[in-house]
Amino acid sequence: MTGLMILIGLVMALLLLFWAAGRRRSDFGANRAEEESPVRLPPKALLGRCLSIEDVEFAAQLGCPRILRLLLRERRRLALKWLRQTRREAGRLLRQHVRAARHAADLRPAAEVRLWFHAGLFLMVYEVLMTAVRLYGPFRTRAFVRSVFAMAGVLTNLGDRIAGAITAGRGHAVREAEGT
Amino acid sequence: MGLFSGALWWAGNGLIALVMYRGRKAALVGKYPYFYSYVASVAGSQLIQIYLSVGHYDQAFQKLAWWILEFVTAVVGFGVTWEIYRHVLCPFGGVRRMARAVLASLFGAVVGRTAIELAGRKLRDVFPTSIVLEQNLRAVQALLLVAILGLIVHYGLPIGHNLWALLTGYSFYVGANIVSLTVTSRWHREMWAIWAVLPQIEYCITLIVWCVGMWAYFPNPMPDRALECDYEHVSAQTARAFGRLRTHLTHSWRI
Repeated sequence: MTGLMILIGLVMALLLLFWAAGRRRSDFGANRAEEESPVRLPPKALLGRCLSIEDVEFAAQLGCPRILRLLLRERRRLALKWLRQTRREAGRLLRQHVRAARHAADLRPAAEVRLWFHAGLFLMVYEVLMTAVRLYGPFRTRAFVRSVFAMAGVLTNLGDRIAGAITAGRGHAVREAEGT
Repeated sequence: MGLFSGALWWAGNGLIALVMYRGRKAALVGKYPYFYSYVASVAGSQLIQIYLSVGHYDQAFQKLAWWILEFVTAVVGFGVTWEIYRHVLCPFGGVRRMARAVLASLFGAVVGRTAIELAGRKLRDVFPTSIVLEQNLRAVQALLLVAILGLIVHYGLPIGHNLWALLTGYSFYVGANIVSLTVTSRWHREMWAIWAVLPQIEYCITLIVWCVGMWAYFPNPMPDRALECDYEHVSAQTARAFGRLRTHLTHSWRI
């Protein structure tokens, strides 16, 4: 109980601070241009170039470990920047939604919760990628993401085949039952 | 400590009188009736305590009266939360609906937790001690305030000067009260001398915030009705945008 009490106190203090900070940079009269703009996705090609293996191979051929290290460090920095850009875009989308939703008389709590879930899911994926890039660098992260997708593909195929086999087996059993 | 405590006591009484005087003078009592009922109940409880201490009643009776008064003011304190809820969320019908859903689920969670905790206990063990009861009441108030504050922060609702003072002062008071009640209920004998003065300081700080914030009437900013929108459309659009963003985030790393 003590832990809970202290936690509540801390949360209240934090929210008060957060709210006070929000008051200062109040977005109540924020510019409409930002509100009505569509999703601004950071270019895929930029990340593709950042993760280009040819550059690493070229740097490795030079035989200078310092240059290779510098290249890898820079690529990590660029990948993190790209990720942060997507995070900023998510923040903008959420702010845009909140700005519109607070005036809506027909706001539906269930829809709001679903949106928070979407935002939470995005944040989770973002944090996983950020941590992976920070710890292992962008190249290994890409390999990790590829292997996750490959594994997901294998599992999906397997699931499909199992479902197909069950359906076929059931059909066979029905036919047999009808035959007898 | 005695002199300091006495000074705080007098300062607290002076400040509460000032809050009530300004409430009447600036015609705030009619606008914030639940808040001023709470202030009046606190002032009344102070007067009863003075009467009891002067009237040579025995210690046990005084202690009992003190706990009853504390309990009553804690219950009346829910009015302050209601006042905040009423004024801040009234112009925003949609957010009010959201608040109702959040508060209902909070109440449900609290009732459910209590029911699970009390299940299988003997009836005589069900009733908590007065300090635990007050602590729990304050914790529920804190939960409600956290929920309302969370919604205000999340939706960036505009708040007038009066409500800002009301919210800041009361949140501080409830938060500090929970911490000091928890500390005194845990180590009440050894630590009491140090912690006895702390509630008085909390009380004075809260009253200063209220004095400053409730000096005159500042109406709450009203939302612009022209900004009302079709929620279904906005919500669907944001959900789609988030889906696209997530797909973009993961698929960009596959290339």
